[in-house]
Amino acid sequence: MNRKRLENIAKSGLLSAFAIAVSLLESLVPSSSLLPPGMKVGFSNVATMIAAKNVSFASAFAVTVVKSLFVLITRGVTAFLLSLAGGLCSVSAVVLIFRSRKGRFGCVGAGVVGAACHNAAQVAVYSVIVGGAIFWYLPYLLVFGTLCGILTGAVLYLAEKALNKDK
Amino acid sequence: MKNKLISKADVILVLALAAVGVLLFILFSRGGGKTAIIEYDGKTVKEIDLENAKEEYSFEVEGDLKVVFTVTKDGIRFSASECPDGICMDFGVISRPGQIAVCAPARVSVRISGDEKNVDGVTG
Repeated sequence: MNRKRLENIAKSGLLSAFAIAVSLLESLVPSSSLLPPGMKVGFSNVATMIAAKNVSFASAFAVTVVKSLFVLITRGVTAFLLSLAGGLCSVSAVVLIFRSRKGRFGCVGAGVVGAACHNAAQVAVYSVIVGGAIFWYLPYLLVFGTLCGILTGAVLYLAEKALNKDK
Repeated sequence: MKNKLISKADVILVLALAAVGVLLFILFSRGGGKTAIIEYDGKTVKEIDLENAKEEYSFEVEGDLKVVFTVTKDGIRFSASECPDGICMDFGVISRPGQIAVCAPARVSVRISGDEKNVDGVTG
């Protein structure tokens, strides 16, 4: 294995650990007073976005899967499927955003698109679980998801600035 | 890859998504009626006319888990649930058309329909 590959694996591991720790912390903070019930800001998405931007697209997918596996162990199969569906949809969209020519989108764009796709995928899974009534929750998810995406995008920008200081 | 906080495309994106959200919100909250539609597994199990609710009362719905609804003159809410997270109760009292409260572990939901009567069974 060459050095670059080892480096990428190590970085993916670190970012996975970071994603798990952040989502764990996030679940401890009651957010229902600020956000609609069941919603989270999704700060762990910052880890997958950092992976997509600095390591590789494969790394971003790996971090997403590892994060969901942790959900499987701690919160069961249903939560795992929700996490995986949201995560994969979100990371795919973010990868597409970063691949777009001339870098038309900034960090906020990536955060917002990631959040929207995350929510869309989860609503789809929820509609199987509880039925189509969940679609009535879409307006809330769209508006607050966009706000959350702006926030995670801003955090991504600051993290990128700090990580690439020496370059 | 260049690090950029926000671009013109981002602003358009944010405004578009927020606009769709607000538009759906307005669309969903139409109607002057106040009917609570309770669903389990995607099927309507109970419809309650909230406008004529005077006395406060509670009733159980058997989903995958047991949940309790309470109807007051202000609206309807999940007042108890066997679910571990209690997110359904976080929704609080809902009363306006378009509002929804969900208990995913029990697979039970309640939403307010704005239709005056003859509730459209297709939606949802």
